[in-house]
Amino acid sequence: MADSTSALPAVDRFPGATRRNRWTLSLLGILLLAAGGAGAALGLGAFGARNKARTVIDTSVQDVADRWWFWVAVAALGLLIALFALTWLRVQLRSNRLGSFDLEVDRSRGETTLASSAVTDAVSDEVAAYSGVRQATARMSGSPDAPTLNVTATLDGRRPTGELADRIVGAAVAHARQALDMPQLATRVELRLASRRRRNVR
Amino acid sequence: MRVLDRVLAVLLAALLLVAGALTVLEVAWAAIGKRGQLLAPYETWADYLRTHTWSSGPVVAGCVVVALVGLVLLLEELKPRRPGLLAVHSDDETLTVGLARRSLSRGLATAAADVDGISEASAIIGKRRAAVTAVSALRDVTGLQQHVQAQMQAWIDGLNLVSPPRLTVTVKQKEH
Repeated sequence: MADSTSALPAVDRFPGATRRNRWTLSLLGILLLAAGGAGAALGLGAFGARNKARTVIDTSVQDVADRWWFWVAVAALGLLIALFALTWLRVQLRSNRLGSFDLEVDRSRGETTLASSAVTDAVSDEVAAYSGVRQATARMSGSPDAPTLNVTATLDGRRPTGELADRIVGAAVAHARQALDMPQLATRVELRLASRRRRNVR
Repeated sequence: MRVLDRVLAVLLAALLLVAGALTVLEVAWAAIGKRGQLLAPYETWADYLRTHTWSSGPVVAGCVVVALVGLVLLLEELKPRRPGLLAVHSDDETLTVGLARRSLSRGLATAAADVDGISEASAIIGKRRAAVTAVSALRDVTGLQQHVQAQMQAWIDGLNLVSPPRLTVTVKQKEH
């Protein structure tokens, strides 16, 4: 597991949007670079002096624009762009948060689902109560039949980080796995160190 | 970068949605025999492009700007993302524990400032190195660097990281 790699990507609540944004923005970058580069090359005479002296919309372009199908194609392209943009916007709202998940793996024995908040509230409350933890949140992600428990804890520096990591894993996560009877529940713990140390009042 | 991508994505998607819808509306407006433009002043734009050659200054400048924006966007997206977490040792295969890289510099600075003789400290986390700069108000700082180095090394070791960063500590004397 973690021992095979020294670094991990940060927890991403919107992995679909992250992927989509990356390739869409890359594609857009390529299109802008190609279009702008070609236009600049044309203007600087890379395609001959005759082309360089042409107006951007000249008679040959105007001839095409005068055909009936040209505006149908423009409208179709506009529609495609609008639909693409709409799906791109919708992806931004889609998180990988899991509202509920399956407790019964064997579907032939029926279906039992559990609201994620039943687990996440208990885990975050337990971790937040540890001395040395300023704030804790928990959420379930993944698919209903393969959920992942994500715990994020902000540590205030009063306790050694390694000790708190062991406690979160050995107590809170272990309790959740035991309560769910899912000893192999995939779990991801993200620790953050707070910027200022809080005075010890507990 | 992920946040910047998200902001850019929302802005560009909204822009493309409006532009796409407006194009359809303008074409439909013209198709039903209406004169002039509905919202977008495309006739003004077209007139401008009918009177300007590819070699005219504004057109070349516009193309260069578009190409540069595309290049910056492409390079930023192709740049490998720095992992946000440093892995912490775990024996359980179903368990991943990580420490937020960005918060490590804050934690290091706070821990260094707590060392006796140090009044303030800052830290920078690189790919494989951590550099701590500590300031001391003491008149005699002999041996302080080694002391802070040992304390901070113990602090880093206590994090139980899979690949702890190599630590460099610099102690500076506060100007009186």
